[in-house]
Amino acid sequence: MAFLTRPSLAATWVCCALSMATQSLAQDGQIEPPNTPDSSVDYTLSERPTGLSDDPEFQVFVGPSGQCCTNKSPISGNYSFEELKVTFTPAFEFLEGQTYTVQTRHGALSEFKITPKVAQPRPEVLAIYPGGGQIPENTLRFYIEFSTPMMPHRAEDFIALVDDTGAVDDAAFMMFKQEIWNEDRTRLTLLMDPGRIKRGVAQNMTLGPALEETRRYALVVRAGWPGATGPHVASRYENCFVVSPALRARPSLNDWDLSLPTIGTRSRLAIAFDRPFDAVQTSHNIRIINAKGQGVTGDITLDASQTYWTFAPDKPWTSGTFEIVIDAHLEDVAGNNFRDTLDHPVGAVTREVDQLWIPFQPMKSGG
Amino acid sequence: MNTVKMTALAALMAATGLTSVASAQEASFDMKFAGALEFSDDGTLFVGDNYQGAIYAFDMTGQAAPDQIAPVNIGDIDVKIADVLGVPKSALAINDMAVHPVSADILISVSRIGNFESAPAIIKINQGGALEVLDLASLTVQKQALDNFPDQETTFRPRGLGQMPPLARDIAKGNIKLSSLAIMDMEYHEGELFISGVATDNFLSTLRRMPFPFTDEQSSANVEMYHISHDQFETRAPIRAMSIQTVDGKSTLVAAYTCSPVVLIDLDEIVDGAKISARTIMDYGNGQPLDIISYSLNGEDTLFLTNNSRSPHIIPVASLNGVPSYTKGDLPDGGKSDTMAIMPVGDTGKAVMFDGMSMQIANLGESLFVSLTRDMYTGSLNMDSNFNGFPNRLHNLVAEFDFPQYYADK
Repeated sequence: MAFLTRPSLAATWVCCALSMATQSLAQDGQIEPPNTPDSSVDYTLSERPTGLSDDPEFQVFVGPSGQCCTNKSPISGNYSFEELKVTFTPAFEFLEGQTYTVQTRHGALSEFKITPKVAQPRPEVLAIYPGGGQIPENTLRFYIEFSTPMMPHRAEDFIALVDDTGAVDDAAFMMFKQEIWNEDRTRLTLLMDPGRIKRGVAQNMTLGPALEETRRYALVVRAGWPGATGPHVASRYENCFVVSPALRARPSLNDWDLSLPTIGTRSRLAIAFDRPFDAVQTSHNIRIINAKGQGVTGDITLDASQTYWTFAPDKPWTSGTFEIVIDAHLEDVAGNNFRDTLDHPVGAVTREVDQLWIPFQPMKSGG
Repeated sequence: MNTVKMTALAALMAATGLTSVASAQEASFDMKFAGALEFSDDGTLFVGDNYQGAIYAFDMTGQAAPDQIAPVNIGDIDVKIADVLGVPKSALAINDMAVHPVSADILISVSRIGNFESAPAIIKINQGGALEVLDLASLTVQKQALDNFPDQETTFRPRGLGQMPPLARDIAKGNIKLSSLAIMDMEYHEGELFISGVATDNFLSTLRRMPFPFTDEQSSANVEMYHISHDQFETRAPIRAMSIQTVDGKSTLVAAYTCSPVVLIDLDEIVDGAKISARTIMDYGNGQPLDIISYSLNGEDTLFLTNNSRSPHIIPVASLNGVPSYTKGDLPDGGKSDTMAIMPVGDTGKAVMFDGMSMQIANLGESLFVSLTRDMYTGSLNMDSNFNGFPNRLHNLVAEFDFPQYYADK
């Protein structure tokens, strides 16, 4: 909680400080900066303070001392006292690699910085999904995966869809009041505006769909996007692709091809999809259960084209029947799921199903 | 779920061992994200937690109203908030802003991006302009989890394998958190909370409705966009911002969603499992809508719509009475550019002047707007309060009156 200074007392305090100042500067207290993010700042006074004051013995500010401290608000936190020691515990952990400034009541400034034990990765784009070089015309959603949290509300400045003539479409994606990040703030979701996804014969009065079949595009993340913390910026990243026909039919399990694993091994169950499915949903909407109905834990992979999914169990396959359980809300990259297509005829009946199952039996080894 | 005071809680828990009471106590400590904000009429604060898939309701009722509500102006508000949270402003995401209907305290929900994670915080700015981190632990709280698929009670079950016991809880459907929903807007209306959102990894139901105080009941509906010229097709579409008004005598949700179409949805249509074809009544221009707030302008109920790339738009609520929806043949499919002769379509409002770009806006009392405004020249983000009758900083505008010659000639 920030301390608020009441004007009347402040005047008194300044008078006292001036007379105490010369004495105190010579015997200023000892500041003990934190050495881990969750530590506090300790200040051991050289002598007991005389008189009362609402001002704290010291305050901590973000940034170097050269920019401190008029017009800056101190970090929110709590003070506690023990004998001559004043301890400040911040409301939130200190950031590694960030310079902070301590200002004592007498105006003395000192800096501290907590050295990171583990180097924070430099900000970089790790991947853009869908990948694989070919995506349907009515692709609804892209994911951009970063190495570290990025500075918020800069996506519009750095992300662009560029076509094969070099024309830049800065408005291809929907921007909301909140950006759509995952919980650890390293994966950004970008949505195409469904209103711009073309259906039917092109008409020359439209703004135009963002993607047109057979044309090539690049989803570009321009260089220079800063990380949320730290001085570094990401370098340029491009994901080039050619646009394939729109996906307009509901997916069907009949179009999935299974490759069965072998009993007694941890070999992979593989599913070849007929179309690319959502990169994130395939990691949690397709599960394996055994004959007792228990979940089988293991490792899931999805290839760059998002059409080939595999599962290797943590423990070797036993004999018997297993089931692949698929959440019917699993979407392909155009937002179609097993219940309905994203874009559907008025009056189309949604297939009222929540889960789908594919039973399978691992094969005996040796064929 | 009962609301309980934390101090009385320990005794109560010891006596009864009620686990539901335990969750009420823990609620304020397990909030992982402070996003969309909304106040009830008497001061309950609703907060959307995108990572928990839940709404928190903090009791901030019983506060005193100031004699007169004053404007609050703070320059570089993002820097000031980041300073207090101990981070550079690059590590701060401002999510939403709301004003307490009685005390006129301004609340801003933020994400503070830390070493390898982010923390939620709500900043409170009082009428005196003092800024502090709201101490959520000191407030009584209720939490309502958003069901993933509230109309279904199924669990994962092996099919065709006879009478099997229920599956291990960790894959039972009911226990899968709705952790992928970014709650974009909430509206409190006559004892109910309406919630719209956009999921991080799916494109499903985006409009929910639940009573407050929370009872665990909730309804979930799909809002569909009707393709005007090809009237045979509908597409699921997300709502960005909404306001509840009386239109043609009925309680109606006025919402902005894709591009800048404005749609109307009768509240009666928002029932569990419904597929609602929202009626598109206008497309006032390109750009991305941010907020819709309602206020009184010259004695008339009016909507104020902000947008991330155009001037705000004002729409008198009365102008929506009897307004036609788009019908077949009126409009071509897909996005329409501002420069086309056909645009704007069905616009019963008008664009108004606004100095800078409002990223967040809320009513501050009856006669003021408070806005987090991106300054066009300096690029700084400032908290500006202005009279809602003419929401501009008049002292910042250079006009002929500013030049000495004007007075010399007079």
